[in-house]
Amino acid sequence: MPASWVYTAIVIYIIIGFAVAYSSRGTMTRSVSDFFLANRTIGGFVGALTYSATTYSAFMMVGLAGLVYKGGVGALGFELIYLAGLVLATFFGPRFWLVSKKFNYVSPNEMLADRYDNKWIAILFTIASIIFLIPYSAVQLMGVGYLIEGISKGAIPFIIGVSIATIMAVAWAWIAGMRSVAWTDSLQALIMIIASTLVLLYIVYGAMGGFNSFFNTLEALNPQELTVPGPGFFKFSTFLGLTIPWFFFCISNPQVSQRLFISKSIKSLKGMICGFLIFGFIYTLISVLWGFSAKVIAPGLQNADMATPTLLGSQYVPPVLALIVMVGITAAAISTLDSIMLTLSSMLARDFYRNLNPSASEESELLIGKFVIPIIAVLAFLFAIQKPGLIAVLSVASSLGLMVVVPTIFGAFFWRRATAAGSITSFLVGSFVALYMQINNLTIGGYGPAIWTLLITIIVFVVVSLVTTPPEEKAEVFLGYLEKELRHKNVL
Amino acid sequence: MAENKKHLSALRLGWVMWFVLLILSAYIVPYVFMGNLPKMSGPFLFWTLFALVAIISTIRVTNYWRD
Repeated sequence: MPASWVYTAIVIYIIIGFAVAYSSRGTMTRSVSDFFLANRTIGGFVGALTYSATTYSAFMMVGLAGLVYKGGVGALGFELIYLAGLVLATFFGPRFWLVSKKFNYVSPNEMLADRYDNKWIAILFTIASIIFLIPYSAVQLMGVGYLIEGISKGAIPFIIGVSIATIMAVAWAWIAGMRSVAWTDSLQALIMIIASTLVLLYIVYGAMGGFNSFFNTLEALNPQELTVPGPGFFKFSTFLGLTIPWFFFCISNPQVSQRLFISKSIKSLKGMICGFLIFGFIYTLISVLWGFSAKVIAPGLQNADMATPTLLGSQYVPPVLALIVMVGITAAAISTLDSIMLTLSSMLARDFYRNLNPSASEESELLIGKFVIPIIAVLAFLFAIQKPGLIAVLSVASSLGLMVVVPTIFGAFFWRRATAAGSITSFLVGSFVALYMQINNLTIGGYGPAIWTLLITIIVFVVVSLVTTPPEEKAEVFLGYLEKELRHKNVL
Repeated sequence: MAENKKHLSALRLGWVMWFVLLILSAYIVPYVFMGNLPKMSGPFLFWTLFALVAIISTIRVTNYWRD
């Protein structure tokens, strides 16, 4: 495909994105809460779309499709168990929203540090988030770089694609903070779902004679792909190891859990959660069926991650449609990236800078927050252009590494006896176990790091909490307020 | 007030148990009972229905909420 076509598609996408970002500024004020949380004024529809665009990255149409190509139907189970993890949001969502509004929390780590009455929780968790989320961001950039390089047949070098994605993400996070991120996310979520639906329908009806014929062909040619463990990739231990960290994603990943702070009402929060579930269900089925269609049309690929680029470059997908899908995947990557940057900058400003300088003014905190956005972007950019092998390990470990905060989050809301010592010790021990097992590729009893990290983290958290002193006054203020409000709002 | 508190606690326990069973089924049914069902009506259909039930259940729980 000519490079000029690719550039034209990207320029159109950028112009529309900038128009949306600028128009989102509206009644913006110069407060920390406004910049990082849109002053908690986001409605249900935009909330659902920004939650969807933040959660679903380039992984879906490239990585998940590749996982289907490699391992068969187990990839569907993995992704839908992640989606079912949103049941946690029905219990934690209203609790996050209520306390963040009452105590004016900006970041999830700030909330935990206040509940446990220990600022080191916020500082430590922020460091961990940076360690795990910058490589995860770099993978998004690499995805865009490879995609644009591939679709232009090398005419647009990898580094140009990475640079475009970095600049877009910084700009859309900078223009109006959460407002511009939420509104550009909404645009990008719509692009993602429309582009992927169009290309799937085109290839199923154009190349395979409709869904009935597609499913019959799949059953006849690849019956193994429709069972688990299937071709062998999705052994039960692998399936369990992949799904456990992702099941807790909605409370353990700060760029997602911070979304639970931004709704303007309980009704909007409900709209956000329910809207995301419907979006996620449709987008997951589309991505999985797209992966299966690659298996039928282009069997025998050595690298499963090439399933989507191969299909997009095939005779079955017209160039204009391939361009739309490229923009859709780029949108998925950038919408995840700018949300991570904004969340990390809010954590660095509030949990790091403010904790170390308690007398700092709100203006200086906001200035620091804006200042670190491009720094985070440059770090992710530098990671991405190295194309190192370790980045993949850290990226896979990101959901595993962030899972170690799960017992701390459960304890904060459901156990008055939970202590800061229990939280910090379980976090440090859990992080060590996760990284040590992941880097050394260790298994115990046939199971990988996920199950052992979770078990050890829970045990350490409970045991250390039982032998240390809980912050009773803080727990009373925090949980006492919640109990009253939850009853009033009829929340389970 | 105490009645309402008891009622909410019982409801919460019921829904938590339902969600735990639902999630466990997503691991057990495809791996234990569908190993020899290489059709779209096997694990593919089961996980799709599982997700739909999880979504409907989640929406039902959020319907309790009021502003």
